[in-house]
Amino acid sequence: MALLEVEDLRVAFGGATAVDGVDFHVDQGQVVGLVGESGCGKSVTSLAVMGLLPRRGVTVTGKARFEGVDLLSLPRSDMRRRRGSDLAMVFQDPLSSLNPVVKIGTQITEVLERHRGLRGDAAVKEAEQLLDRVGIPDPRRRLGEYPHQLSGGMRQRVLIAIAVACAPRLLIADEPTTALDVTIQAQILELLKDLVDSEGTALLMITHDLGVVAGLCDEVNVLYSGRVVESAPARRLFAEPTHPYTVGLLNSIPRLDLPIHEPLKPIRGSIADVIRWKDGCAFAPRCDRVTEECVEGEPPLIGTAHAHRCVMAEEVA
Amino acid sequence: MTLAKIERLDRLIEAGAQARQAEAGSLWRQSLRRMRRSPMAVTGASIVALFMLVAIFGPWIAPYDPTAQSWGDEVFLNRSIFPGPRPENWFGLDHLGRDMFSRMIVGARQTMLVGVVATLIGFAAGAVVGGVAAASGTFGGRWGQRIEAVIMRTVDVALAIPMLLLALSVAALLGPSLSTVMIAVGVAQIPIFARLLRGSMLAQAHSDYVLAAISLGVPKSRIVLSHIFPNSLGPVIVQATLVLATAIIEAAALSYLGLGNPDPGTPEWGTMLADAQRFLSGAPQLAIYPAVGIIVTALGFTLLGEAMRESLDPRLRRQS
Repeated sequence: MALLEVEDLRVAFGGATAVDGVDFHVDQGQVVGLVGESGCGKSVTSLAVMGLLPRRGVTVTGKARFEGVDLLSLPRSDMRRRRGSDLAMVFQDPLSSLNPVVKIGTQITEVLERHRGLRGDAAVKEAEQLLDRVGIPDPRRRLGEYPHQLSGGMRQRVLIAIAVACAPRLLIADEPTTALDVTIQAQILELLKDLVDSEGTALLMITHDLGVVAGLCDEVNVLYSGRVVESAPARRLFAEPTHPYTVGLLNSIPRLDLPIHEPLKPIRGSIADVIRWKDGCAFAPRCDRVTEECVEGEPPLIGTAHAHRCVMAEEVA
Repeated sequence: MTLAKIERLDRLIEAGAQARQAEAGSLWRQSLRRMRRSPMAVTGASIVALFMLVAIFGPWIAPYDPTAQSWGDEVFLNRSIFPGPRPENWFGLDHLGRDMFSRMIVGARQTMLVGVVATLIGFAAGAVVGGVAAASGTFGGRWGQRIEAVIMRTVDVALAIPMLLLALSVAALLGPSLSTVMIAVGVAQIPIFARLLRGSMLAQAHSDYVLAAISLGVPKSRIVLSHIFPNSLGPVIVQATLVLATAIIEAAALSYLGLGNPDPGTPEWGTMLADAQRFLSGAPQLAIYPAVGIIVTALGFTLLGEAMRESLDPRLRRQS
């Protein structure tokens, strides 16, 4: 059984549909990528799974089964107990995700206290081990410091330490490397990979960086305009991308094996306005291979191991 | 690389580490360091410190007993002309022949006491009101939002009443005394503090670290008390120093209107100002001394508050 199974998830902010029927699953110990450009619904999907969306003005429907239990219909108090212990999240901006006036140590121990009942010295000792585990030198001193005294990479390590403090079975990382520079990005990804391998934690990686996906993920779901347009094992996705959007994404990445001065091929236009939604393929207005068939109705997700949502798929491949 | 080069590098690294250590420190310590470099803050702090010292040690510094009447050898030629500054009485004598300099020094204590206590009352009560409103509105669900609405509308009504009028009605209700002035001025400040803290807490409630704390299952009460509240205090503390200045002026105004401490034995700047009114044409110096005292004290607190606001403002804060 899948660890997390998201089924027909829909999130609407008033009239605007941000997530429009997303299905994917994460197996035990697996790294699954959720890829797409800004505004495609990646972050909203993760927030919905964690139950962190505001209740006012937001409608969430569908299912998000975690070990068979639907998280979306759980009472709020049960969900609160699960957050941090069963599933935890690492956010994009490590500086703003840490409380600026609370010491690092306190921010770690409060989670240990809440979910593992550790108090006093035991909690501090455990916090120290956690910092050591995520590769922070001199952890004892760091516990007494404030977030602004740490570098960006260190802060993200602290956030990861807090997230894995209670050994969650699923870790959701929402663009954990976006705010960091390239060398630090690589270190953080290495750390996440290491944690996943050694603890057997499943990781849902939300990113717009296909390089991150290539290096880390087992399975990839490409999101466009609130829908999964392609879903495949990472290797197959890079080897034979089927959906024109995925092809476009891959074409717009600079590559070392292309001749110098070869211009990148951007995807023309910008992401469709979620409010003015019509029938037909959401990508049709930007697609180079658009036909009449594309605007007649929403294409279904075809295939199992390597699924895609395009009527022209065979020709693209 | 030669050995000397390596050594030099080592020293550089060490110096860097030391500099970093020096730069370290909490948010508050950092802003304190910034304040030490600002002339405005230094001036404000010096004035406040000077008046605080006078307030504490006043009775021992004063050359005469502030209540002793020393007309004796003076001639009652013209009761509306009083001896002005002279070597034995630096500020002259008042209408009852009391030494003005001693009265000013001893009076500082009352004035400062009223200002500080009134601000503390306003701060504490305002923090509770605003904090409860913000917390219930953010985390209390539908009922919490109603509670917040009721509290904040009440605060709005109170804000619409002129502050002096509000203080005046409270003072009239309790009868003239020193504690009346403190409570009256303090109560008049509650709405400002409540509104400010609520706004500040609401802003913090939508920050990323609160979302992160929720995502880790940290209980709501803990999020409010140990995450949101301490982060929201900055602007409120700055407001407190600014309110201190107005509180002193208002306390003086209440005393001037006769709602202050009725005990003639304890000099107070506002009462002194009120007493001097009758002799304004003949002896304006009697009004000028306490007025200048009030103005300079208020100025000191305002400068200090303004400097604190600047050093704590994240938009003006330099990244270190």
